Amino acid sequence: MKKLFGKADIFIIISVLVLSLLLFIPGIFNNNNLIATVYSDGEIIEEINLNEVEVPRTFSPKDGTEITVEKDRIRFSAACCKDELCIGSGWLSKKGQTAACLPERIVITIKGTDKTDMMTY
Amino acid sequence: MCRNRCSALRNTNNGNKLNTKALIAVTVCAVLLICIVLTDLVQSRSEYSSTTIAMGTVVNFRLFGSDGEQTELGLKENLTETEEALLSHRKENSDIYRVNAASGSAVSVSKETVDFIATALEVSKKCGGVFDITVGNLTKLWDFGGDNQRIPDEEEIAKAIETVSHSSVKITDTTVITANGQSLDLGAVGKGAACDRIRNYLSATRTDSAVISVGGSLLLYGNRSFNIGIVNPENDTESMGTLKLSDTCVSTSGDYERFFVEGDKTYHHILNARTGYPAESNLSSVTVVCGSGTLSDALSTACFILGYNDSLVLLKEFDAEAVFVFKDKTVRVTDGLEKKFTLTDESFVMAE
Repeated sequence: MKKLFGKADIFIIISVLVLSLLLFIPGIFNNNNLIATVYSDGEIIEEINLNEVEVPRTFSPKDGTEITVEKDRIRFSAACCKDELCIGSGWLSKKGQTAACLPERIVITIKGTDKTDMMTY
Repeated sequence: MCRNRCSALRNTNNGNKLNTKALIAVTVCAVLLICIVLTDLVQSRSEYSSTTIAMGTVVNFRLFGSDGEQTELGLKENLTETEEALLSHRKENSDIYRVNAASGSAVSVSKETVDFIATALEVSKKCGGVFDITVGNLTKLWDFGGDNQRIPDEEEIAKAIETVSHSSVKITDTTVITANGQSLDLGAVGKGAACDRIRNYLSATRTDSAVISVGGSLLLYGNRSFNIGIVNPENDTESMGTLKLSDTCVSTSGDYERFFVEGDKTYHHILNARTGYPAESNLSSVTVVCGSGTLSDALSTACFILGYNDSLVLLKEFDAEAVFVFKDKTVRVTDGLEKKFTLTDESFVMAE
């Protein structure tokens, strides 16, 4: 029996493998970033790459509501309602985490999924 | 003849033929591989996800297919309609508001509202009335999450509980009659009902699959299977276990959702309709999986109040499955979910 693969075949196989790996790579890179999205009334008002936050900052999407951003994490830091549930949610630092201020209709989510696609609660 | 030609070929150039075969095989593999990678890429690109607030709660959309942005707009409208035209007991002109305002007489409502009420009544009947949508007067007294939340007087509760009776609600195809002074509160099934309406809406769009959370009640649409996290009752940003599911609805009821503390006692929002007080339970949460969102919402509430043993009977009646998380951090799963459930938080243990 002759060899099953010639030099040309091996070249093709390797190039196909490399090609498909290359196609995967953008996905892998994108998935590693922690992107926080801030919604107000259902509209995106800010998208923050948490991995690239160098200097912590605080901003106020609406009067009385404050959001604080640090490297790799984000949270509600001030609210105008009395139960302050959104502050109680604490720091968000993982994919799929959400905190919301219902009275002011502001939501922070970190895009993507960690191990789960959706949470039931 | 073919045989002759083949053998002739083999004779003339044996090595080349093998190579041609291998080449074809490799090419086919390559094409398949590229197709797989491309479809995967296209699929992930065609995901549309967003978060909004509707029906007084957080709604997460993850849509797979075409026209995601347009579909999401329609879904938001659909949710607003569910609240304002059908189920809210606060919005004037909603079906439930009108039924409550005219208690004692027949009120014509949409067919959908009748269906949701019918499903809830069915569960009330089968669980001995611990879950009941005629608790409107009671929930108003406690006002969990509202401006007037408090522990009502015993007399107030006794008076309100007189109006709680699912058997006095009469329905036809398009009308509802409640007893005089009775008040409906569909809060316990509203999110699940919204999931059912969303499923109807999605079937007319170019959405292949979707997972949508209406305040923690989930609709899983299409063939795609999803990993569903069950919230850790002690930390609402983490899950304690996952369920791998497709094409179904999931609801969870737990005492951690809404509560207040007075003295040294915690009062959570799941009221036992028979006693008028928060359900005394050794459960932290119950997650119910079944085809109907309205039903899974109603069942998760009923099961939380009933406790583990009675719940098993109730779940069988409705062909539903469940995950029970107990206060002592043990977990029990009904037979149908055994293979789909994975415990992910090591501080919980499966009960023997």
